[in-house]
Amino acid sequence: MKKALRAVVLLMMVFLLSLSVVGCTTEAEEVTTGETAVEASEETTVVEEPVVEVATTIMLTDNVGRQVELPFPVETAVVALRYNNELIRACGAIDHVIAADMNTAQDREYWKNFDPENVIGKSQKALNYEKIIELNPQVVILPGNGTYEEAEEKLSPFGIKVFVISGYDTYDFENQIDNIGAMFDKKAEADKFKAYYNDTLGYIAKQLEGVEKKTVYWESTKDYKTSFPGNYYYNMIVASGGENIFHDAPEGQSDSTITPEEVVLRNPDFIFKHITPNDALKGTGVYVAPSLEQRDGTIADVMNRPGWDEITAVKNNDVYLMSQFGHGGASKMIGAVYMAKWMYPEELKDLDPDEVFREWLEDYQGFKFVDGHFYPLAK
Amino acid sequence: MTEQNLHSAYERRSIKQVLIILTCFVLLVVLAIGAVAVGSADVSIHQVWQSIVHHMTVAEVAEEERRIEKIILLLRMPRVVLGMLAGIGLSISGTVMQSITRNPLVSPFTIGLSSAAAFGACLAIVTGIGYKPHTPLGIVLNAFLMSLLCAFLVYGIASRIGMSPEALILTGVALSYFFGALTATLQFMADENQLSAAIQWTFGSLNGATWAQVLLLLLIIGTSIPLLLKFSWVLNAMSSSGDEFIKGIGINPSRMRTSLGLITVIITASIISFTGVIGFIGLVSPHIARLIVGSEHRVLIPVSGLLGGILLLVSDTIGRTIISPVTIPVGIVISYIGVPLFINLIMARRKEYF
Amino acid sequence: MGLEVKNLSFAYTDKEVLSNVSFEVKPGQLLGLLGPNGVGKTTLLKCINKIHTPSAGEIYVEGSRIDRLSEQNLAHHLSYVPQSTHSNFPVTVVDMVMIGRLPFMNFKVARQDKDVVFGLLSAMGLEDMAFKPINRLSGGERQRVFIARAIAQEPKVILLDEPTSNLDMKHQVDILKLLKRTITENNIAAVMTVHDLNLAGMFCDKVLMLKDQQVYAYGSCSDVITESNIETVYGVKTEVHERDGKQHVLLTDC
Repeated sequence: MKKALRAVVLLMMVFLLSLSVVGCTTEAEEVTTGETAVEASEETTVVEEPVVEVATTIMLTDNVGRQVELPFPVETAVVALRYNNELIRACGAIDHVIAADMNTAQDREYWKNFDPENVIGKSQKALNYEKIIELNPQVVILPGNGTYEEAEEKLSPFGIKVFVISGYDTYDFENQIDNIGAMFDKKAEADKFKAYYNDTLGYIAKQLEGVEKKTVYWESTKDYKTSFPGNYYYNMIVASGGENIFHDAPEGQSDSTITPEEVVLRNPDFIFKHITPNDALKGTGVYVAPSLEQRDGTIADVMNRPGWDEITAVKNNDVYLMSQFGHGGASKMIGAVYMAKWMYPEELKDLDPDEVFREWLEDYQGFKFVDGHFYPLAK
Repeated sequence: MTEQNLHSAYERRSIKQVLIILTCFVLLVVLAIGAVAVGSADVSIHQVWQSIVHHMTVAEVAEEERRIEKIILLLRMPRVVLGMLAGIGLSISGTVMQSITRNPLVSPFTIGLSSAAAFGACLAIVTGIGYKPHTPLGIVLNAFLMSLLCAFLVYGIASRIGMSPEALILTGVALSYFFGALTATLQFMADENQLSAAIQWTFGSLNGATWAQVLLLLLIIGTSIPLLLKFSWVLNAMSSSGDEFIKGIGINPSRMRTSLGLITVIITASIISFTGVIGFIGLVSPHIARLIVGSEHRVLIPVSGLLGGILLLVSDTIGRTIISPVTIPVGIVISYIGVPLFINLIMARRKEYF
Repeated sequence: MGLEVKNLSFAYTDKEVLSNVSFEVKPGQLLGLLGPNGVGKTTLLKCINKIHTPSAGEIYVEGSRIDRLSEQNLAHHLSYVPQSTHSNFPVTVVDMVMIGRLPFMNFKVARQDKDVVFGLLSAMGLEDMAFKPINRLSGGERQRVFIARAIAQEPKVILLDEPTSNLDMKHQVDILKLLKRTITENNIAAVMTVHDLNLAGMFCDKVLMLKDQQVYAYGSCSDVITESNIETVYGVKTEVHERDGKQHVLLTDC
């Protein structure tokens, strides 16, 4: 027994020792590469007087508060997360994104420009570092729920920067668009985008001043999963001028599954449910809208839930669907716009959500308007 | 003790056992009624009764009343009854599985049913393979069929290698991992929405309870339990003695293992197709019951079922009320309640059990 | 009637384990199966209770050929006491013995069943621990429970696989005395495998020695338990003395 114990302790010490050795060597490598670079440039200066290019950089604060020094302007980047790529495309910088993650590239229609054979990994949580190093971008852009710390560790020896942009974080919209505009030198486009966003939401806020709020039950693609305060979907509902019937729930709850009887009791005026087309796997992507059959079926299922015929929204046929793809446009501004129009058609006469959506798809993303992502149309 | 004393002692034990069964039954009913009264809107027992009466007599009711009554009749009652039935079914399945394999670590999911059902649900959600795959019915069907497929594979392979307890368990564990890998592959290919839907399904929830589901489960469990009870003595023999002795008593252990096992498969597969995977009950309720009434299956089966029903019911009720409107998944609450209860009992009775 | 085995042969695939074994045991008699480890004693028992299928020969229990009887039917005539095993779940003594009544019960425990079981518990001296879990009993007490269970089946033939192997001397003697008394009172034919030649000599009416798949010697104790037989079959030198009509074996080869 004692011998075995001793052997284990010895093994552990060897293991720990080797870890520290590995750590030291990586640092040493970095130092040596730096040195050789300096030596090389010194050599060249001796022969001629070349124009020494001063690489400009820019210091930006990312979505998780890190101060990162990026090359300016960024010429090559790889980006994970569909929302991120959308925002970058909205700022006219998508050509600088040389590769994306599988979750983005999966959508062959909407993201034709990305090659699914050439992805940086499945998602922001499962990156293929070797591939990224092979592609050798200047920056890797990840959302906050991705493995950015690990990426930093793996990629900094290769001089690749890691910058966090979380496209789903609607609270940080302004800062993130500014960052995109700054790093890709697309300030004008970024400002235009921000104006489009702020003006639209501003209009809604102004028109709804003093108007009594309608109550909303919002449901994700998963039945009975709603949104609680602190959640990005919750924020979207607030922006639309509606009041979430679960406004009294505690903030910061990650799981927001409720019981069906809660909804009956709280009796919302409107029900908004998310939907995603059934065939997303087959590569047609989520740009394609869910079929009419699926839409009608989903609404019927919701209205037929036991006891739900007592809910105001069901009685008045005020059950609406938003596709997971559609609602997210322009940092969920599109979703807010449609919900607002559904709830307050009178007060928001000058608001045409289809027009806003069209502008987003055509002007900011370069795609034709698609029908069926928001259903049924406003009355 | 004389023989006469033995008779009366045995008699007294039987009476005590019947009393325990009755107590558990009454407890279950009382808790069920309480559960129906409790929720986002607490109602009185009187109101519950009124709802039933009004529904039977098709009476006219004021709007506010009507909403509450609908909640009681259409949402709470089916949920409570489904919870009870699920608890009863899983617990009895666990008891029988443990007895036919003589293994206290076995649960209804040991032969892979939960992995297979999750795979079936995932298949429907992610790839759209199956009948009406994107409806709740489609998912239920897929989950059920995959469970059956898994069971047939396990029993088929196990019978080739002698249908001993070890054969069954090892094959089951292997297939469990296999279906798990299949599910993981699908989840890897899925997009984020499908993924979260697929994962959520496995957590187990009574949110979607309907009277239709209740009736179906009532039918299945109602016919299975008398059948299993009929084999009480077979189970007594199988759980306490080796296969060789059992053959000497006139029982074919392999055949019994297969038939009794498949009955538990049907019960378990039906339950988890509706509710998702609710673990722990099938493993622990039988043990709690054994600690209370011993291993005589004529008593053990009813008591274990009733305890399972009570445990699941109480867990679901706590889960949906304690930090309302947030709901805690029933599987989590079960562990928090079941584990201390179980450890408490083991400590109290350890001399007898170990 | 009792048990009759005629020309029994058994082989595991191609390896022959038993060849042309014949013997009979009359009601009330106890036959001891002797032979070194691995010679096939347990296999022989398993052929008799239909766990194994013989390749040749016939076995008669109470005059009926067992290959023509179903397992359920056979259970009414023949019972089996395997080597003691540990139960994974708590079982009380009375419940364990009651299992022996399975061939007679459907669900309900009848008065008759209770009478038989409680009578056996008394006869075996188990009344005071009737409601204790068997895992808490001593080896000797547990063995009594298994024998009681076998008798509760109301068999005409009992097979016992090394019923005294793990017991101390006192318990070995007690068990065998009890067994002898029970089979005599109930007119049961019994076969047991046994290692201890002294015990065999003490309690068995007949013994059968197996060697090299065959019956080496079969008959009364005085005929079979001899020094030359023991040396040939076990490879051990001994001295055999007779005292009060019983064979006593002394080890000399040390």
